[in-house]
Amino acid sequence: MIPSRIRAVASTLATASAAIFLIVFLYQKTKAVDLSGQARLAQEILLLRNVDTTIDQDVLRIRQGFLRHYDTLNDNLQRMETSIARLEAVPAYFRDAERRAWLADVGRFRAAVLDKRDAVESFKSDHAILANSLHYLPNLVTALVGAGTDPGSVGRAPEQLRAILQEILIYNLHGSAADGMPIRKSVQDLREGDLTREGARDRDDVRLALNHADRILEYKPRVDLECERILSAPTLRILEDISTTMDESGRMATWSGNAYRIVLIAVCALLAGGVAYFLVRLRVANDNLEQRVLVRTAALSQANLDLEEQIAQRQRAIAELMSAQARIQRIITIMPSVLIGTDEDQRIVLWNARAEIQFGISVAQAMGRPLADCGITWDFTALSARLGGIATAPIHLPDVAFVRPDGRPALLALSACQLPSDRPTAGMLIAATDITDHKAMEAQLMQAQKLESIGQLAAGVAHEINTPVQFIGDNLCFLRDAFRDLMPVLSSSRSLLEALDAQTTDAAPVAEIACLLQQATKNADTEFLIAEVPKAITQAIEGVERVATIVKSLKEFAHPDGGELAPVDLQRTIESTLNVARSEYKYVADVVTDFAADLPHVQCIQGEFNQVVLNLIINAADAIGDAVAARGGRGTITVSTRRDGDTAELRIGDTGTGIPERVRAHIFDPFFTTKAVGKGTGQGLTIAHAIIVQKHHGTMTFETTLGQGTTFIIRIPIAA
Amino acid sequence: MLKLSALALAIASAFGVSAAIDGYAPQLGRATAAESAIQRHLAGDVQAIVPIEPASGLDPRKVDLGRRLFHDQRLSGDQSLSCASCHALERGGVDHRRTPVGMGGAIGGINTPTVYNCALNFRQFWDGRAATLEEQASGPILNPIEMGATWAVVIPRLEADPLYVAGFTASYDHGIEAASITDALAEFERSLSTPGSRFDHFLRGEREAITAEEKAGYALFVSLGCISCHQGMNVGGNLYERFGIMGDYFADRGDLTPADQGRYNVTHRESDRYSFKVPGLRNVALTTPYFHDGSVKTLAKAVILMARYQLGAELSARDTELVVRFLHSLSDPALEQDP
Repeated sequence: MIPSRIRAVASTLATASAAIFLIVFLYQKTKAVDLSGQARLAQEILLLRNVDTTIDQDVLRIRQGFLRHYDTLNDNLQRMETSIARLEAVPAYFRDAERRAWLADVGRFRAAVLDKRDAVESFKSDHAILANSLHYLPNLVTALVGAGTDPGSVGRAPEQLRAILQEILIYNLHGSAADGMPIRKSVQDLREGDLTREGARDRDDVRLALNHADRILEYKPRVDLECERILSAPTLRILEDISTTMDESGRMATWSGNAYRIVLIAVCALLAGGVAYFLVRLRVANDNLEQRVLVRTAALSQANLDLEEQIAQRQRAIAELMSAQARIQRIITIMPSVLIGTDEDQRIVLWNARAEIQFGISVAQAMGRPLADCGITWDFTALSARLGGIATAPIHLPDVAFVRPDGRPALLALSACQLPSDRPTAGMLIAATDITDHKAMEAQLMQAQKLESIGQLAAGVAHEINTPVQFIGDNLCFLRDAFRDLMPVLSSSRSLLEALDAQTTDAAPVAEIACLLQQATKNADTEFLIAEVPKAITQAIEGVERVATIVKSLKEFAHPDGGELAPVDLQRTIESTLNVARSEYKYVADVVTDFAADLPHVQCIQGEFNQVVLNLIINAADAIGDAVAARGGRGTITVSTRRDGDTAELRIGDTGTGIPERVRAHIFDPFFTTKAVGKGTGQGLTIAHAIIVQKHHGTMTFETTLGQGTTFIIRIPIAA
Repeated sequence: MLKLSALALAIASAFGVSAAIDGYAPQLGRATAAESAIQRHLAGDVQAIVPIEPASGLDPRKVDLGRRLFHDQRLSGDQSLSCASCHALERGGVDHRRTPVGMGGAIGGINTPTVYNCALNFRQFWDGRAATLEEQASGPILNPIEMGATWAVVIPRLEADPLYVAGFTASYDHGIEAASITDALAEFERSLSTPGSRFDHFLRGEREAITAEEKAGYALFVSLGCISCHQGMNVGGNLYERFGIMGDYFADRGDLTPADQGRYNVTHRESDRYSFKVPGLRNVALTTPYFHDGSVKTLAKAVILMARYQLGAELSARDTELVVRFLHSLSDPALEQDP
């Protein structure tokens, strides 16, 4: 019973696989024929036929004198030769026999082209000689006959020559090779005949003419033969053959595809019938089998199947698990960040490639060691303190200091989270990135921005100082002149005092010196000086004070803070900034200040805060500048401070153009600028925003109305 | 139609004026035929000489590479010579010797042809043995009596130069190899076209671009029959022709050399003996000495010999001078200005 069943199954399997094989085979044969290769070749052949015909045409045109150069002929020959190689790329659907036939045809074509090219080369050389003589001879004969270049000539040679010329021209038009013979004889006769009656010069010309006639007689048949060889070259015919071969192959390929398709359909139908028949037979056979055997066998096989299915499922699951594991491993390995994992005992269980590079510690060295003693040079005590709250939420530390393997100090941005665990202690996952370079770049950018504003200010400050220095100088000059004028008065006064001391002996000099003093007083215009000198002194002092104010402001503006928060008098530091920035706005705007009297000192990094204020004032001045350029007049920059509970608020407003709707969302973006190229780096507001938000824990916002102006609002906590 | 007749009228009057000014009295018959030939020529139906079209469609990076290679002495066996040693670009693209001096002072067998407009030639070398510029480029490099190198020597030298490595990698899939070197050289040579001669301007319709004498020389060039061979864009360079059709040049000159066999050396066909590629006459005034044997130093002598052996005509001094004048109008001023 059982062996016969196995036999039946085996034979069924064999039949089924044979059927499948047949179907697959037929399907392969019915696959659509790719005729794109054929289209390309057809195009190539069409091109070649055109080129070939053009060559023939050009040869005829040259022969008839309608084309006087060989360039197009050469170009087309060249084209023909290069396209032969393209013909050799046989389409993929060609069968072996077709491929051989095709290559043989192409080979024949190549030989024909080379032969034709040879003929063309000879034609070119010979035709040049023939054309030249055909051109030259008539001119020469006409000259000889018409004028007779030699006055002493009485011969008949020119007339004979003209007769020969006529015959030659007719011969050239439609003469056969045999027609040349009598002309050749005439030429021979004339050459050997008596030329002594011609003038010497005519005799030379006649000989030259006969030479040219010889060339025509020699080269005309050659050129004709070459023409015939070119025009009767089998190139076109071979192309036709090739074209036919290709069309037939294409047709055959298409036809056989169709035929196989029909067979395929028939086989499929037959197979479907067979299957249906077997199903029916199986049904009948089943009915006849003993029910118990059927049930047991079914149960057994079902159990078997279930088992197999379970095993298969299990294997699939294992395979999936392994591939997932491998995928995760790959991701961890190539991850561009450091990844470190620990188990419940804080021993390292994960150490990726980036960690190896970053800390110079290999996986082998790191694995299994406690995190506290893993070899990274860092303050682990401080770090574990900062990681204290990890049980409740992931922790992000942007500034963990460590030492790189090369000994240089560096910074890590580190994130850590706890791995889920059912034990009291838990493992953790640490991801870290070396942000040292990033930080260094940020600091450089800040410094650059600061230098930019100081540079911008320097010119303005110089101008501000220049004006008072000038009138201090003027006043000092005036004082120097005044003192010079007063010198005679003073010396006269001293002489008078001396004279008064000596008055007892002689009274006359006193009167004389008094007279001199009076004269000197008058000369020096003492009245005027007494009135003006004090004013000059006051003005000079005022000037010095103005310079001192500006210098003090500049000093305060550039206050070298240590980058630390410290209590700052906002009013004073804003006034300093306004002073140093005066030249930025004074031509376009007036500044109105409104400082709150009750505002205490605020925790600030003074230098950076000044930079923010300066930036906003310059922006305000620029915005007003644009608005003023459009409508004239002057604008107003309003600077006010206010206390709002624990917060200090600074508002810097302008009456400028306002910020258009579409750019409002971007003004704090890095490198965003609306200023002309070269006027701003697009970094000012980005850095200002960063300074206020990150370093002062404040906010920076703005209110703006198009055409009316913009107000920037900075709010920072009074106590840090 | 109106335009054509106006042009013909203008040309005719130009010839009338030229004859009146110089007192040049061409032989009757010849001159009238020449004038009508020129008029027909310019009327456009049978234009034998075609103005040069400036090179186009070139890859500037390959041209640049080719220029560097062209001037690079590393391409010769003992690193003493470059292509430019014989094809001096500032001296008409030739070496002005009878035959070139190669590596170690070896004397070559045939006169150096110019590289200018060489892309217009239908074949390369005097005997036409190279079908393309690429094929030609390796010839002198590998010739033991010219640059005397081998690719096995040249390629490592170039590969040691990072500039070349970068240049070739950018332009060629396989980097530095014989094929890419000759391709770059050929691309550079294709850029050496000289479309600026006064005669080109004349052909393009500026009828005053050449002088009355040069026009008369051109008329002779047409009527004598020079134009039968020297036609097309390169004024020659597009066919083979036997040297000595109306006379035996080689018998008269004597001392037959292997190079004198011409194309016979390539095909070994009797009909090709003494046959050479007709040289193009572009910039011919700048490429002395003349002929494949470099035996003729002056253009006038070359014109006289050509007329004698190829056309059977003995030219008068005046006619020779006029043809020479015409040939000067084929020079591109850009080359003439160079020292």
